[in-house]
Amino acid sequence: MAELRKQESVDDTKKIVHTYPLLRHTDMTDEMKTETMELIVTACEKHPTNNESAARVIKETMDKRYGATWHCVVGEAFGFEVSYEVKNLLYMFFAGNLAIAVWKCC
Amino acid sequence: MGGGGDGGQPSKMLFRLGSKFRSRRRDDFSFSDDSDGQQGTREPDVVIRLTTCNKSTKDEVRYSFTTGKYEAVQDEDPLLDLLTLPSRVVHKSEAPLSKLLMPTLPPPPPSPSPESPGDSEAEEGGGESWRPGETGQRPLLPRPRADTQPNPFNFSERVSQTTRLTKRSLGIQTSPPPSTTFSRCVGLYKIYQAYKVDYQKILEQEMEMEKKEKEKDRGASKQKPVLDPIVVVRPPSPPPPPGKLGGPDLRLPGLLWAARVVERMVSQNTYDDISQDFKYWEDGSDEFRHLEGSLLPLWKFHHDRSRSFIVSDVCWSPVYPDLLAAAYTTGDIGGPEGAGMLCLYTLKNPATPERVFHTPCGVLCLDFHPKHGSVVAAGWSDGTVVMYDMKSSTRPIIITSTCLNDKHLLPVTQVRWMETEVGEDLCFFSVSLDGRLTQWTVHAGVLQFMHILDFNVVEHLSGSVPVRDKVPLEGVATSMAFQPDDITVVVVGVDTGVVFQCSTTCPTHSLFVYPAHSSPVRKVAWNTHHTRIFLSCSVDWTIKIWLQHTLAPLVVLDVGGAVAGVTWSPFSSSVFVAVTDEGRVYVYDLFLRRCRPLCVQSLLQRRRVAATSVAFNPFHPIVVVGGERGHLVALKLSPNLRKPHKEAKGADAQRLRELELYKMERLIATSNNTSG
Repeated sequence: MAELRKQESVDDTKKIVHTYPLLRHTDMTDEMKTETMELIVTACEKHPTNNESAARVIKETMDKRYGATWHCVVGEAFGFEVSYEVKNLLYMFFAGNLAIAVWKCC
Repeated sequence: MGGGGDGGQPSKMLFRLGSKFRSRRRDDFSFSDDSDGQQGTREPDVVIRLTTCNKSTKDEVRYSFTTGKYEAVQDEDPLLDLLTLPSRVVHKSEAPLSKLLMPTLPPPPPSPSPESPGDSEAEEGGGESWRPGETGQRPLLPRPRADTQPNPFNFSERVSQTTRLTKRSLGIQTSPPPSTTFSRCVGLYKIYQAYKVDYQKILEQEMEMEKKEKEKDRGASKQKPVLDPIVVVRPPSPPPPPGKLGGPDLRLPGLLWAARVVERMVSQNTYDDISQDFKYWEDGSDEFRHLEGSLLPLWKFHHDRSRSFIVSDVCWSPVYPDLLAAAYTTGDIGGPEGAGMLCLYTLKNPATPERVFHTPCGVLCLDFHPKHGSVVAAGWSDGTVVMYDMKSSTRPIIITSTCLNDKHLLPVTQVRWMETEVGEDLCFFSVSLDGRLTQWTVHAGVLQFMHILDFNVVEHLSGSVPVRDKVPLEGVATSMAFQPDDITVVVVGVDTGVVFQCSTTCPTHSLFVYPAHSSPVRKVAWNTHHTRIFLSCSVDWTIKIWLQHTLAPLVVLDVGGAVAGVTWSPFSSSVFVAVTDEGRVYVYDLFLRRCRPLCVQSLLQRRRVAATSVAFNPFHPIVVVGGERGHLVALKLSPNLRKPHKEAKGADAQRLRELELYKMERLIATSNNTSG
């Protein structure tokens, strides 16, 4: 967890910007979890401005790797309620302002 | 047999036995009454008649148990229908009736019931439709034919059907993978808060880790003094009976040697980089320094409690290039109390000493025998001299001098072996603070002494003319050195600072006196090549090089501290190494630069540890320095310090010797010039 940490001091207030991925909820197996997290980090770093293309990369890679149908949401503010196949959901934060949810269903 | 069955005429059959049957199985087919069984006789033909009228049962009676009488046996029909096949043969006259043919099923096989001879007639012929339920009662209908046309070939069809696998369709629906719902709401503030909390946790974890490490360090240093007294107090456990415990039985023949070899291998692997340095590493910076060099520290030798000892003397073995002996003593050099140790180390196994001898008092000096590699003489701080023969690790021979032997009463400061011929008894000299120089001979397991010089005798020859050349010996001898080529001449350093040149033939007077120093002389040493030059070093911070029979020293070197030990190098006549009480090692080359040392180096960077002894390896350019606190370190001379003479390249031994002598001669010449 302590891979990337950046401290920026902006004006008087000390604003600490964390760039490391922070896992919020998952029920995947450990191996799957690590691979997925790495994939998400890579995709989000590749498309920092475009959430849609990041989500597309994530969803397509997950489809190829783990089969069937994956869904992915990348954004800063959203609410969701989804049905997903058990042991195939990951929900994490990244780069201090992005939230990514990826799950598999049908 | 088709056709028959109406109980009519008997049919005859002739049954002729072939001759082959007769020959093979005569007993079975003994139809003839020929009991003698002659082969080849043609037996009469046997007539077998098959009739339906059963003559044998006409008059048969049988006893019936129910009635209790003999009753006649009913005439049973001997004829059984075994198989009835519907015939397809149709008589010509009945052909037109075949048009009334109806498809028929074969009639049910006739039940083998003997009570219905009449039915058999009705059953055969087939051609009637069989209705289930009827048991064979058939109306006598005109029989329809199975074939419309006559069967020209006697052809019958036989059809059969193998078992057919019946197919059945089965549908199933698997249960879908389990799924649940998940819902969250996310916004920027939530992300920020989550990161903040997580970061706090990480900081706390790191703080805890640091605290744990600090505690570990503190705990480790605290634990050591707690453990040591426990180790000391516990009495030594008795050696386990061999073979009973799980450990190896050290009495196994090859085990000890194998263990030694493996230990050496492991040790060399551990100190591999030091060994590589020892062999190959040359200080590259020497090229940039004109004359000066440096000393590279190599191995550090220690034994388990050597930290509490002072290394009083070190000596290299003249026979084995890797063997060195170190003498340990505690406390002051004068005190007889305290334990001591004598250790033999080898460069091949720097981790532990090869031999360890614990002595009841400190060992102050030692010397290897020049020829016998395993013989060491040592002098103890209580005045005893000891000879060790360490060839065998389990049974070393130790010969000590006892009070009966007229041993020294005060600490022995130096021992030196004398070169003896093969077959002669070994003998060595010792000098001690009680003012005697004694020669000891090892004879029949006992040391026999012979006083050579006695410093205590100050005889005033009353009335006689004072002998001009002889000076009475005064003071207490602290070191001695025998001239390499003349064994009778010995140079003795005294604690008053004077150096006496004595002869072993004259016990009371010395031949020459060198007014060397103002403080006790610590060491005197003859030059290894030029036999008329020797040096002396003393507590008064000076090293002086002397030419025999000259009153003034050739060279006076002021070293910044009390010189504890000095040794000439075996490869060059002008190089020597000195160590001081301040823990510094000085390397001088009198030929290249007379006034200043080529190298000054401290033993330890941080602490000041006093050096007490130094010895040069006769085979390698290594110096071993011993100091207080058990400090024993080997140093390698850098290339500048062991530069051979320019003309020494490719020269033979004779030329090399001449070169060395030349160096010293030049030294003598120049110093004479300067001193005027």
